[in-house]
Amino acid sequence: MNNISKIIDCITERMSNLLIIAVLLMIALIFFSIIFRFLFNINSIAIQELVMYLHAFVFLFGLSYAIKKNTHVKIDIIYSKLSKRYKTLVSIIGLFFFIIPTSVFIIYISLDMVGQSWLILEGSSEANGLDLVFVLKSFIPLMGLLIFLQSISEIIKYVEIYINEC
Amino acid sequence: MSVEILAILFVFFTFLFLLSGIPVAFILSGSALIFAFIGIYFEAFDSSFLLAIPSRIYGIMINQNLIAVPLFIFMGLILEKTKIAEQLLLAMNMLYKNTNGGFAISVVLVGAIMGASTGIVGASVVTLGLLSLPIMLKNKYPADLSCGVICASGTLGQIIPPSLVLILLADVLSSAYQQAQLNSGIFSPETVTISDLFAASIIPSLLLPMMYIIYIKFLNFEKLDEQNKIKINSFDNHQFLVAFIPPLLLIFIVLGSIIFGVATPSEAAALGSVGALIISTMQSRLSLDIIRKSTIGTIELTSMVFAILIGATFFSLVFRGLEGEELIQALLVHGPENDYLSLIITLGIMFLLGFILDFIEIIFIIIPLFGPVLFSFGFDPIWVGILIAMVLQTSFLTPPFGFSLFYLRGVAPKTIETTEIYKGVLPFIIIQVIAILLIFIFPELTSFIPELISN
Repeated sequence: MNNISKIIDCITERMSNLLIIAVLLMIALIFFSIIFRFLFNINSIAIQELVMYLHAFVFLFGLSYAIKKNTHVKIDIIYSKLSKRYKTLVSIIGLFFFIIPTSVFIIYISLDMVGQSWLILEGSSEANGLDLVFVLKSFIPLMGLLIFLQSISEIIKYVEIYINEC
Repeated sequence: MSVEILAILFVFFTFLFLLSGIPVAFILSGSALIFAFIGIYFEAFDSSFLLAIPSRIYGIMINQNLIAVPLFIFMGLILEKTKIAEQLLLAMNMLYKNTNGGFAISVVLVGAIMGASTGIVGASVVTLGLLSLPIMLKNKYPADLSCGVICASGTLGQIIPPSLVLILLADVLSSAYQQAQLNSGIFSPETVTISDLFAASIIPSLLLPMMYIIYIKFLNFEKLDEQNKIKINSFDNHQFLVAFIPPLLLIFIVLGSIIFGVATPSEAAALGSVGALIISTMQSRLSLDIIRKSTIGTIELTSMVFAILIGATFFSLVFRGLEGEELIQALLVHGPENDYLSLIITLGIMFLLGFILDFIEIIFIIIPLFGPVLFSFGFDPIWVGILIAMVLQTSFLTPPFGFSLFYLRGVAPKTIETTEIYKGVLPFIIIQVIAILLIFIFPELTSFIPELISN
C-alpha cells in the first residue's frame, strides 16, 4: 500500500515540474506577444490560445498538487481545536465522501463531451487558432483522474498515521 | 420529499459541512452531488442539470479574464520573496511616519492601487496577505487588525474600476433593465454600459479607502509607531528612492495600460510579472531559487482559487436544479408590497449568497431573476449596480464564510487563529455598511460623475 502512495506522490511531483514550466512559459508568451504587437503589429491567435491552454493546464492539474501539499482552503474554527486522531479522521472522511466522489463524477460526466470532441477532432472556433480543442477538453477528465489518484495516496497515508499514531 | 425542503436542507447542510474543516471547494461540490442524488432518488431533481458541469468547467478554462489570476499572483510572490514589496511598504510608511498606524494606512493605499490594477479579489487578498502580513506582524501590529486591513483593502478590487465585477454586472444589468422596459411597453429600451458603471463607481471607490483610513487614524498606535520609527530611520534618501520608485512605476505601468486600454488585464499582469523580474534582477535580489519558489506558490494559490470556482459551479447548478431560484423568487415577488423593501431583500439575499457562491454565479443567476422585477419599480440600474457590487464586496468580508477570509487564511501563518481574522474584519464590515447606507440615502454619489461626464 505504501508503495502505491509513493508512486502516486512521485507522479504528482513530476507533474508539478511541468506546471512550473507552464507558468513561466505563459508569462514569456504573453510578454513577447505584446512586444511583437507593438513593434511589428503582429497578432497571433494561436499564441493567445496556447496561453489559454497553459493556464487551464496549470490550474486544473495544480488541483491534485494542492491536495498533496494540503493547501486547499478549509474553515478550521472547529478543526484546529481537534486532537490529531479526529483531524486524521476528518481528513479521511473528506477524501472519501467529498473529494473522491467529486473526482469520479467529473471523470464520468465529462467523458461524453470529451468523446464527442475527439470524434470530430474539434478545432478552434477562430480562423487561425490552435486546432486542439479536443486535447484541451481532455484536461477535464484527466484532472479528475489526478485528483482521484492523489486522494487514494492521501487516504493511504492518513490511514497509516491513524494506525501508527492514534 | 418536496423539492423546497430539499433545497433548504441542501443549503443548511452545506453550511454545516463547511465547518468540518474539509476543503471548502470539495465541500461545495461533494455536498452538491450528495443532494443531487437524494433529489434524483425522490424524483425531485432533474439529472440533466449535472450534465452542464463539464461545459461550465470548460467555460472557466477559456475565460480570458481569469488568466490574469496566476500572473498577478506570480508578480506578487516575486515582489514578496525578493523583499521589494517589503521595502515599498516600509518606504510608503515613511510618508506617514508621524501618523498613527502609518503602516496600516499604507496597506489600504497599496490595496486600493492593487484593486485598481487586478480587480480580482482572490489575487489581491492573497498578494496583500503575502506582502504585508509578515511585515505588520514583525512591526507588532495586532494580528486581528492586520488581517482586517488586508482583507478589507484586498477586497476593494471589487468596486474600484476596472473591476471584473463591474464589467460582468454591466452586461447582466443591461439585459435585465431592457427586459423591464419591454415589459412596461417601452420598445426602444435604454442600456447600461461598462463605462457608466465605471464612472458611477469612482466616488464609492474613493469613499471606502478614505473611511478605512479615518478609522485607522482613530485607533491608538502610539507605542507601535516608536517601533516603526526605528526601522524607518535606517532609510537614507538614496535607499528611499530605490525602494520607492521602481515598484511604484511598475504599478502605474500595469494600471495605466489597463485603464488606457493599451493592454488587457492578463497582458498587464504579464507585463507586471516581467517588470518585477527586471526590477529584482537590477537590484540583485533575484535567484533561481526565488523564481522556483514563487512559481510553486503561484501554482498552489491559483489552484486554490479555481478549485473554489469549480466547486461553486457544482453548488449553483444543483441549487438551481432543486428549484432554489423559485424559492427565492417566491420570497420576493409574492412577499413585500413596498418597492424599497424588495430592493433591500434582494440585496440581503445577495449578501447571504455571497457566502457560498462566487460573485460570477450570483451575478449571472440572481440578477436575471430579480432585476426585471426591481427595475419595473423604476430604480436606476446604475445605482442598483453599485449597491450590488458593494453588498457583494461586504459579503466577501463577512465571517465565517467570506471568500476573502478563506483566501487570507490560505496564506496567513498558522500562528494566526481564524477567529483573529474574523475579529479583525468586523470594524471594516461596519464601515462597509455605513458606506452602503450613504449611497442608499444619497444616490447622487453614484450619479454625479456620470452626469458630469455626459455634460
